[in-house]
Amino acid sequence: MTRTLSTQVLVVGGGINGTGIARDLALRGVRVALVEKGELGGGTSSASSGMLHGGLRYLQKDPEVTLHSCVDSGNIQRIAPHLIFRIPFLMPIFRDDPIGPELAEIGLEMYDRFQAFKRGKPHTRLSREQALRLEPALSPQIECAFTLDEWGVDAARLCAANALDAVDRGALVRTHSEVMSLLQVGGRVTGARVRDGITGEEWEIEAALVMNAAGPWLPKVARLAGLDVKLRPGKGIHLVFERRVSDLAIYARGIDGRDMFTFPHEQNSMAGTTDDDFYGDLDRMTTTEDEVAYVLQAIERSIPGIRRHRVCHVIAGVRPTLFGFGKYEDELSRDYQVIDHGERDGVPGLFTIAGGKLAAYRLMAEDASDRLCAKLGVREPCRTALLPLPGGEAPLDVAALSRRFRVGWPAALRLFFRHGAHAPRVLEQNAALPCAEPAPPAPRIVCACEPVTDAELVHVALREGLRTLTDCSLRVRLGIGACQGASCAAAAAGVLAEALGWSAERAAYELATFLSGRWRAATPALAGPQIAALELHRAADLGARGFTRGDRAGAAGEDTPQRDAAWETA
Amino acid sequence: MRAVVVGGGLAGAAAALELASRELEVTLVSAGAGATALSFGSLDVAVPSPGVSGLPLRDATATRLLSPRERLAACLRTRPRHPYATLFGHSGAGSAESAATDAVKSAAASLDGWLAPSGLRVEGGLDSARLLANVRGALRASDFAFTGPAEGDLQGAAEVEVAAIAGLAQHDARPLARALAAEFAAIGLARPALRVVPLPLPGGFVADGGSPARLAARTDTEEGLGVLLEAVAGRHRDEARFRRADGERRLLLLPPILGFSGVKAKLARLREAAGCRVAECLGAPPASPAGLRLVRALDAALSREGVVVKQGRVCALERTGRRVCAVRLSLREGASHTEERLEAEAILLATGRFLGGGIHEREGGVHETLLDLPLYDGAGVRVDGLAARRLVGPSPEGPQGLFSLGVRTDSCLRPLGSDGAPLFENLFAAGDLVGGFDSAVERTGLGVALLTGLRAAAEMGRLVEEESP
Repeated sequence: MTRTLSTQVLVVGGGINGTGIARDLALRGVRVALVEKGELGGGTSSASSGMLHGGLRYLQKDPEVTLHSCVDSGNIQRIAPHLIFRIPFLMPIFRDDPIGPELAEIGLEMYDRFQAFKRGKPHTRLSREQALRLEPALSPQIECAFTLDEWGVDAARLCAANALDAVDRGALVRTHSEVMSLLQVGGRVTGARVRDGITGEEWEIEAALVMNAAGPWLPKVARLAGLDVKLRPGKGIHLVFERRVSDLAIYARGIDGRDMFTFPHEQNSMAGTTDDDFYGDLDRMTTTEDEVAYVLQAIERSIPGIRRHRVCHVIAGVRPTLFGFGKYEDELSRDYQVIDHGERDGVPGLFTIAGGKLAAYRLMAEDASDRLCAKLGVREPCRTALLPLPGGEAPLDVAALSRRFRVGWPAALRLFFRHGAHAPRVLEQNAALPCAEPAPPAPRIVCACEPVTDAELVHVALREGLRTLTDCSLRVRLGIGACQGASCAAAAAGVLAEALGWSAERAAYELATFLSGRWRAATPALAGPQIAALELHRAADLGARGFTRGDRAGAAGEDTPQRDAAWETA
Repeated sequence: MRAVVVGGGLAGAAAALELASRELEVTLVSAGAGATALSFGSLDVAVPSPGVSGLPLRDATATRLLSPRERLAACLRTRPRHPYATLFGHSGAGSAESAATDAVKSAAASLDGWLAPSGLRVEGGLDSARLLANVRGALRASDFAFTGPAEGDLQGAAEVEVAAIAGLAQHDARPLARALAAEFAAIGLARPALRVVPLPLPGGFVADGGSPARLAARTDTEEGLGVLLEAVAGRHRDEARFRRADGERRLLLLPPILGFSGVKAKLARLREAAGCRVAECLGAPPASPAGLRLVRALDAALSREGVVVKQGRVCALERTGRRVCAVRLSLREGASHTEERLEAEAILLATGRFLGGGIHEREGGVHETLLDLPLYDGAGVRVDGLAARRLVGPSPEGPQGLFSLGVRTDSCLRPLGSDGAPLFENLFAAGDLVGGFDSAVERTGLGVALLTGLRAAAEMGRLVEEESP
């Protein structure tokens, strides 16, 4: 049976563009539905460097992009202060660098003028000795170094925060729901037919306007209306180390002269990124040995001991870069485009947003929403830079949170990082646990790397519409640390099974799927001490499996009345 | 005359204990217990699981589980590169089977003899498997199990009470019970009645975010055990009206929290308090107290039997011609390191695979750590020098060259060169270092460690006797 609903705008894609637009529209009182074929932020957004940076690199050719990114980074910091963290950068200068210290400093002085927009500190110049004292892992071959200031963000959580705010304001957001076809009446796009990948259920969503925000998948969505939108998709990978390998982010230079860096990101360090034309299957992306070797070679020049550290997994994604011919990947514009297919192709009702940077997502969403509202005759102004995202309303006393709910300080701190002012609400979920007798127990640590508590898992399952165990690694960073789920995924599956009423077969399916995903992420960079870790993780997984065959359809808990009603109705 | 055993896991410890029992002077060099410390309560000699291994679990009539003896025979018939084939022959003839079963019986008895003084028994036999549940509710047909989980055979239990401890991490009684029911359905055996029974412990008793290890340490104190006993006794009274079966047909299934020593005595007291059988679930690796119990009991046995144990690493093996003659050690004593040279008549490498450190990656290729011995994967292809990432498959379940590789040996467990002849007259290998099986899929890591460790010790003993004047 096909369920139908009608809305004003259907947004296709739950990355930062889609969720940003959904929130913007919802704040203007527009009825909006968003469908995402996987998990929120599961494509390009979560595969980014997770940085709200201005783009020092774009200053030369794309100063507009730098300006937009810096201005909007300032806005995002204001509306979601809990989700961001400062990343001081160290840019070492080597004798054989193509750009010497004087030239580098001129660029940084230019960039300092943009720093004020995003509360960044101006650069400083360090002597070789000062730099080595600050970061002893640096290569002694450096001549001098500069510091500059950028900001990091949990990109997947930023997508979720935008989606949650949209839902709070009446939007429907549905993950694991893929657009199978576009509804068309007399050349006009009037909605989409959507298939739920978990239940197999089909929805027909009628909409006055459809916004294609599918990132690298957007040409595929446009083709459903017979339209051709060209991108120049560029693949990028990041190596993720089991812990922080340096206190500061460190610039590195690839063998081809490209800028790369290794940077602390939440509990880990990451290193990247590459930028290579991508022609393959977006849904079956793999990381090659060459990509891993290229990144390590670059980082090794700045941090000679980098190979002693354990790369616990690799993240690969594809940028939906605007099309350009006859240029190297790095030279392509990072600008964005909103296409009205009524104007461009004579197919009204469909819009596409392409290109852009994470740091300027809010501006892009504002521009896209302005265009959509103009079509709808909605005259409400954009308010996304003024109203805080969920959790960003007020600061919170984390020590008091830790005491009140008897949860350790690190867990409380990380919880605040993801949920901001809503953290107490998350921990109150424990009172709803079935085993809560006689008094609700203190939250248990399920994933110790992050850490993640059972209360948070119950919260995201019941209040945030989370649908699979694998999605937890994006939504709450479960199982992506040193153990890659070996000691937490099964326990998390148990907690979610309770909360969502999963059958044993469904729980087994979810666990096996999660761990296979971690395996695929870990093996491309397999080397050194990570081999023993993988041996252990595999033994832990296979050694504890039973005879039950996993079954995704064993979803007794799908659409249970426990689920928040907002997720079920438009 | 001296034998040197390198490796502090089960293979090395069993070999050292066996050599000591033959009254040979033996030194064990240990840098830690490796994979043995990560074991979780079951000791399997024959592949205990279907599906993953291609070996059947039930007989053709599907009414009973295959016995360990039957599965051991199947393993010998179908796995020509398995270490058992090297040890016992793989003709499928009755002689290989009877040699294997005799070896298993005597190995289990020896191990039980070494561990029993520490209150850890090896329970089980070749005639029937035990059906044990782990903390996730998965079933395992175990050949042998250690005290704690060993008492939890679900065959013959009419009622199972799954203890729920509020606030304990890594353990959820309801999903466990649900999974257990699904497991019985999956293997097509009748299941006992399952009931989740809350075990109320005083506030603050489960602490630190619910850490199971912290709770296990608490039950090692008389006070902590007393709290647990009281909770069990209280439940026994409260739950009486729900029970149908008598005490012997009822089983109270606890999470693996019974501390790191004295499990036998604790179980006896719990049984009295509960009025029925009591057992722990098998742990889920890597977090389980069972591995540490085993390591502690082995350490106690080594010290009792007079084995000299050196804590440290071997940096090099000295060789003259076709003999190894000494090991150079780097020893830890507190924070300081000292070097030592040990002469040896025979040397056993029980250094493990990647976890133990017997095999590592160097210069972009996998190598045996001490002598760069030739390595072969589960299919018999030589793989040393290849990059690790080329030896893994696309999913964890599938065959992995990387985790089935190891040295190839003759029937005396002497590592072979590429010409098929032993590389050294007096060098032996045991445990995970011996290739040809995938311990994660086949789940027989401890079984292979025990059997190869004991066989290597016997061969070393024979060599020394032959050579002594």
